[in-house]
Amino acid sequence: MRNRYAQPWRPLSPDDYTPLIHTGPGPAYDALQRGRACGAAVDLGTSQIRISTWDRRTGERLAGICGMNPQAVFGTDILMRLTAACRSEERAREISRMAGNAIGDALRLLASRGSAGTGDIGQIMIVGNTAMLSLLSLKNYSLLLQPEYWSREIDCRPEDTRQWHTDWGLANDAAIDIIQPLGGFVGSDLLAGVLATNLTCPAGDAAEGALFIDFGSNSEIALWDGAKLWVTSAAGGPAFEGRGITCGMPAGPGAIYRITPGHSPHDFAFDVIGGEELQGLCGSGLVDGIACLLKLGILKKNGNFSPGIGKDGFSLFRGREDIVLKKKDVDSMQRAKAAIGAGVFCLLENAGMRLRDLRRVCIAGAFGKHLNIANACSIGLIPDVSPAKIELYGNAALAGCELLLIAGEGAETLAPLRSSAHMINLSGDSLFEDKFIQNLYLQPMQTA
Amino acid sequence: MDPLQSIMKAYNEALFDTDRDGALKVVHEAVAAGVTPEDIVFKVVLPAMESMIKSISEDFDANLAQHFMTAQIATEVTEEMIPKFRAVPSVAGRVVIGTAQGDMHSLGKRIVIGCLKARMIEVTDLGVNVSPERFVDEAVACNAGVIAISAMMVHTARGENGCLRVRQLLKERGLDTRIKIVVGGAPYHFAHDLYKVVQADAWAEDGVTAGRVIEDLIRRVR
Ligand code: B12
Repeated sequence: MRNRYAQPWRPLSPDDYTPLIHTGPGPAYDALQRGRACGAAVDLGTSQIRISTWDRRTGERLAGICGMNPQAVFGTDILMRLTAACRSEERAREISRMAGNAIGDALRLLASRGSAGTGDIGQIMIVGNTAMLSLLSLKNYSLLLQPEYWSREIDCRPEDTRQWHTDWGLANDAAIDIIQPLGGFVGSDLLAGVLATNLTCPAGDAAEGALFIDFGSNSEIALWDGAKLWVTSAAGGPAFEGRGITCGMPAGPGAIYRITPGHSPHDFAFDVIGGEELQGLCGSGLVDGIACLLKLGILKKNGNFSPGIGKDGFSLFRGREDIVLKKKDVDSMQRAKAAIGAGVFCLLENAGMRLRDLRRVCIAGAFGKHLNIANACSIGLIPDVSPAKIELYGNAALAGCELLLIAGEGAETLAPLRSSAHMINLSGDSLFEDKFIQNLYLQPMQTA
Repeated sequence: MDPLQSIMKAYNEALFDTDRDGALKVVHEAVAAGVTPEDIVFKVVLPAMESMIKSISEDFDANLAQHFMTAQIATEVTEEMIPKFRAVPSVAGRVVIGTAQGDMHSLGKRIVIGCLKARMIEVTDLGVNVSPERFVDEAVACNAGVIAISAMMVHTARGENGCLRVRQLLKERGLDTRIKIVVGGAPYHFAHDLYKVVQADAWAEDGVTAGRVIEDLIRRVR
């Protein structure tokens, strides 16, 4: 694997944002009551941290920034970090501090670039998965290694935020709100995503049957059936993010994000992020590559290459550095998408719904807005519904967090979602196994 | 060509394409044509698994769909054939298998079970999230020579309620010469020495190899 992960903070471009369903000044912004003019929304992800600053008086975004979560030195997935934290209190504090310092660095960087000065910030909202939030606040993280707690509520509210106030350069009266996760394996990032996509449209607005998939190393899925919000998480591994893939890389400059068939069968056209020299495949490029080879018959439905393609795999591109696809890369994608397919099946089953009952399928997370819907459907990455029903979002969690920031509070806005939510634990679900196996194949998602 | 050889070829091709119906059809046609159930299991199904091992060791990239199908088809065929054997087959040995405490991943274990059954090894499936005490108690109750522990996550593989504790219990109860421990699952792929760290006797990287490794262990305890 090539190391293309050491990336500095990068400003978020307009294309990185999910348009908010309602903007403008917060519903009841009161300069006197609410104090300082600015606010910050933070999406604390396992791989990436996204932060935007806002003018709370006008309801306008000032700037946004995105960078890697430095905790990755303790492991790329949540379990490795939780395990490291459980080794000693000192280690746990170190891990917490890493995320805290990253947030502080980002806020100061934004301030130095003319956005909100840290002292002008009156409120910070933080969403994330349960592990990230509990490690940040150093509360209950050890419970997350025990299956008994995965479906339970986990308190991630920090005892004391004074240290952060000092470290981040905030005024004493600034509020730091960690939006509480739903349970051990469903974080507040999912709630934020559901909010941002308006998945549970207000009553009267015929929007029953809405599915939301937030693709990542630990993908989260929500299904709104008109009355209940069924939620789960399906750990498929990091293939969607281009990690663990021979020529994989995260979606950033140099990443192939789209592959289209060229003039001759073994000839492909590539679109590269930033228009730069191509360096590797990000998630959506990987999906396209697999779908193209499947269509050409070079890959078979079970993930094997056609005879004649050896263990060096298939070269999609020959250049200074070849871009190859190996059987094990295809296998990683097969496993990851099988977990999604089986997860979607289990949610539909619990809600007593069929694929045809879905009016909306909202796709967020790792693939950004680059995903080729037809290709994704053909390999069974997303449900095989009419393309008109599929909506592509980039990062939805930050957008949801921004909505909470504009509203000025998290608890009340999210209360209806929380009370309608039902968590489904896929481990121990007897239906999961067979569906996982069925969905390993490169074919449209099997949900019946 | 020897008829058995052409049956094998057709069966292998079906397996490579993970074509379950095709594989079963080959088997059924062979039985109808007079091939004995014993030959089906010992000369077709088992060698097919062996050749999977070979192709996997030559080409490190294992393909999961193919694995599942090999194991599943092998189990299906074997379970269908055993009642038709002329003599009751002698059991090669007994194994208890489960997923380590705190771990609910059941799929790896499922493949291993399929491969063991195809080798006439009697397997008791203890399920997922199995406590170390239960592993040992059940092994004693079933008179099993091997405890097989699957762990898909790093902390359940390395943790103190997994293999390490099973070993400790075996020692405490003076069983550790009579019962061997084999482990497997994703974490062992990343660190090939991990099985020693957690004090297991062996590990296997896939279900097919697991069959062989476990047979070996059974021989050692007998
Ligand atoms: C399917 C899956 C799930 C399913 C499990 C359903 C089920 N019934 O099993 C669901 C969605 C429920 C799930 C849940 C979780 N998962 Co999960 N899951 C996976 C996934 C996609 C596949 C694992 C699998 O089943 N493989 C299939 C088997 C057949 O493959 P295999 O390992 O190659 O097995 C072979 C060998 O290992 C060997 N073998 C296996 N067992 C044994 C035993 C013996 C004795 C022997 C000899 C050999 C042997 O033979 C097998 C066959 O050839 C992996 C990611 C991936 N891409 O692999 C993550 C993964 C294992 N999960 C992970 C995580 C984090 C979780 C969760 C904690 C996520 C969460 N936050 O909720 C939960 C925990 C659940 C729990 N308590 O166990 C992580 C573990 C990370 C780590 N560092 O340890 C992984 C690696 C994904 C990731 N990178 O984040 N998961």
